[in-house]
Amino acid sequence: MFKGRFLIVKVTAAIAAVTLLLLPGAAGTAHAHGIGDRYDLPLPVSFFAVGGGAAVVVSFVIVGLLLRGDSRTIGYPRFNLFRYGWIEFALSGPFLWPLKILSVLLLLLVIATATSGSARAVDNFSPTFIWVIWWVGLGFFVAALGNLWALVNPWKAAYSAAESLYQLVRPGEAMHLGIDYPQRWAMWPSVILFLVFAWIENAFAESSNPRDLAWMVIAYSAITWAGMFTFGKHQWLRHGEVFSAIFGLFARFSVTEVRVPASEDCGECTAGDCRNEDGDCVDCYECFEYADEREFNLRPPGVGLGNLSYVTPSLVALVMLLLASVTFDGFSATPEWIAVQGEFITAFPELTNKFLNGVTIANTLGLIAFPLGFLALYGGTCLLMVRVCGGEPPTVGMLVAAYVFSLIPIALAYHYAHFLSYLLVQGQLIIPLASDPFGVGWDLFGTAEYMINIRVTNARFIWFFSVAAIVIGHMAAVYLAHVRAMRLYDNPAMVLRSQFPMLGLMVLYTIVSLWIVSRPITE
Amino acid sequence: MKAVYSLRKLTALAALTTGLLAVAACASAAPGQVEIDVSLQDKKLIPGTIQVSQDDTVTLKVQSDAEGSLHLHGYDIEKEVTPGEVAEFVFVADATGRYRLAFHPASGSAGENHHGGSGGHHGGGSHASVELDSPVSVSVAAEPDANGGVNVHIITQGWRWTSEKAGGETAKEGGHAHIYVGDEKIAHVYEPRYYLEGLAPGVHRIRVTLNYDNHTDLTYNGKTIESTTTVTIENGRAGEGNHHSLGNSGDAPAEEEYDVGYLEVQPR
Repeated sequence: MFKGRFLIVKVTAAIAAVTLLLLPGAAGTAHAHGIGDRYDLPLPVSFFAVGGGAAVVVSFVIVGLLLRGDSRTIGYPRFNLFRYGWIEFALSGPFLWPLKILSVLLLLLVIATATSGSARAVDNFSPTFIWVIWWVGLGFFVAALGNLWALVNPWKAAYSAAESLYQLVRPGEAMHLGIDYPQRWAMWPSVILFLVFAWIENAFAESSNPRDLAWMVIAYSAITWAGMFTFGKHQWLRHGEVFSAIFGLFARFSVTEVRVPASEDCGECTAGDCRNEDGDCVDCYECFEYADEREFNLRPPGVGLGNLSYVTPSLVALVMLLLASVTFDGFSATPEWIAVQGEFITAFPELTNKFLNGVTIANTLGLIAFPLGFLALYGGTCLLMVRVCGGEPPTVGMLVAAYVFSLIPIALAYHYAHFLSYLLVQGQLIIPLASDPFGVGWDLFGTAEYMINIRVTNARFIWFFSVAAIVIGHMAAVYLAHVRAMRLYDNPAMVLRSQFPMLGLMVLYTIVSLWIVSRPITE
Repeated sequence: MKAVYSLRKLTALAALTTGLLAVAACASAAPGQVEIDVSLQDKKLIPGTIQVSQDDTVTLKVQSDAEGSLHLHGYDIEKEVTPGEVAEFVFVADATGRYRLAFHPASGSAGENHHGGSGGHHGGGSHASVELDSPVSVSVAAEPDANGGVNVHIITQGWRWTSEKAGGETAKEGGHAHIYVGDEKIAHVYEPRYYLEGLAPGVHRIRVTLNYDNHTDLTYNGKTIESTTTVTIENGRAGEGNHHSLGNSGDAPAEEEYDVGYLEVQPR
């Protein structure tokens, strides 16, 4: 029996590996990551200087403000929206179903258009929907307002529907193999899948080729459903469904949270213990699904990143990968990196495969070097924090786990700064594509002839927004790290001293983000 | 709660910072008429970046050393350029941003060498052409079928088709082909046969070039290895075609294009 189970795991893993490796090459035309042109004007030097200066100044102001903070009163104001019955009603059951059905239909439409629609990226629904609307647009929504992905995730919705049907046929039986998820795998499946995703986004030249996207979406669907079927829906969503993990990280910044107040409601949770260090169950969608008593709270932006439950090395790896890939996404379009790519193209003239050529080698190395560099800098900062505090516990490892979420606001702010105009301008492509998703001449909604309006944004607005977002993100990061330090150390002097290395790292990260936004985009 | 109090202070600080930035961001000057002379030499614009201010009425006078068309993306203005003549782009620069100027060489006369310049295809890095040591030839035949599609046969000599799945041992005389309809690249093919769909009724020019897998164009004796033929579609499905391309024109932009420079419209 045991052996049999192990075999199934092996087979699942093998299928997953093979499907990923066999993403075959279909003919078609497409360009580097992203669809269409970017029209961003680089940030002028004055904005760069003001933003950088502001980041340094606000860092010290925040430290000054929080200096006399009381470590026992680390909480944040919340307002439960479920106290209005109609909001709770709207967000549960009948009103959510149309959204979930729409989401599954969109997944099917993506697969259908990618496999059989026009081979031209701009005439096909799938590249614009995946890269602009879903990855950038939904990411913005989730980080600002709340975890919409947890509600509409089409893989989860389709699997839940299948489970409900299964319950009708075989009442009381769970629709999965019931294999225990190996705890030592932790979130490593998500880490590996995110690495693949980041590679496709940033290194693979055919990332907006519909035919290539088709295989990716199909392979990912197969992996996700196989994972759910093997280990159970929630186990896989928690450990292996990388977009639940990533959007979950984004959503920690958002102004809403789900919370289960009664601890007995978490008894069935597959996380084992999902409660944070204050004993609260926050943003655990599994408990939220089953709990009798539920809260849907408004909260200040960013504070959700202060909630910390058990942090595994795989989670640290995932966050480092997220931070690094977000930064690399912009960096890889700077003239400096294009020059590096040129060197690789010259160095490997004989490598001309679409998976393996000078550009992909350069970007692959970048995608490996950036997270390692981030980890080294972050680890080095934590080491320095231990040093300046006289080598007292907490240890470096504990600090690495404790501060892991506090850099996320800077990455998110940069993500907004880098992508806002892209979303506003190229996102409009979805209007004609909605009418003609396959690119065969349909006009379903009468919008097929819609032309992109390049006047919806203005460079000055984008610059202003970018710098404001990056400085505010920086403030949130400094605040989060400081509150974390207040939890770690009893002595206010120690709190202050420990924060200087972290401030240095955050100022560096912010300045680098601003610098990238101030470089012309060459794609 | 002390932390709540601090959060309020932080919010005030954030508002103050944004306010200061807003003040720093203000500037103004009256828009005017601007006339700019540029030249297009060896597929590069001189100067490489044209800077104007928002709402200026811009007259861009272009002198080119090659025949073709120059396309200002975003604003989506395309003009023919001919050596010895001055092409004028007149527009009001009402949208801020950095817009790509692309040159599409005139093609049509078979065997004309459009490639091998210092220009690069857009989409990551510049691709120079590669000169072959031994003669390679290509010829293309196109036969329409009853369904409005076209069977394209690519006949090569001294050439080995290498599929990307075959791995990295691409020899110099091996690779794939690009198929163009008119000026628009519509496919990369890895075998001698390709089925072309969705052509509108009428006469179409089909051109095939042989390429390395990184899409470098191949030349022999300085000439691009290519072949051109025409095909007539009697009965295509009406309304077919590429009607929204890159958010630019109603027509599909030519895929064979060179980034020659940028227009930067700075806000006032």
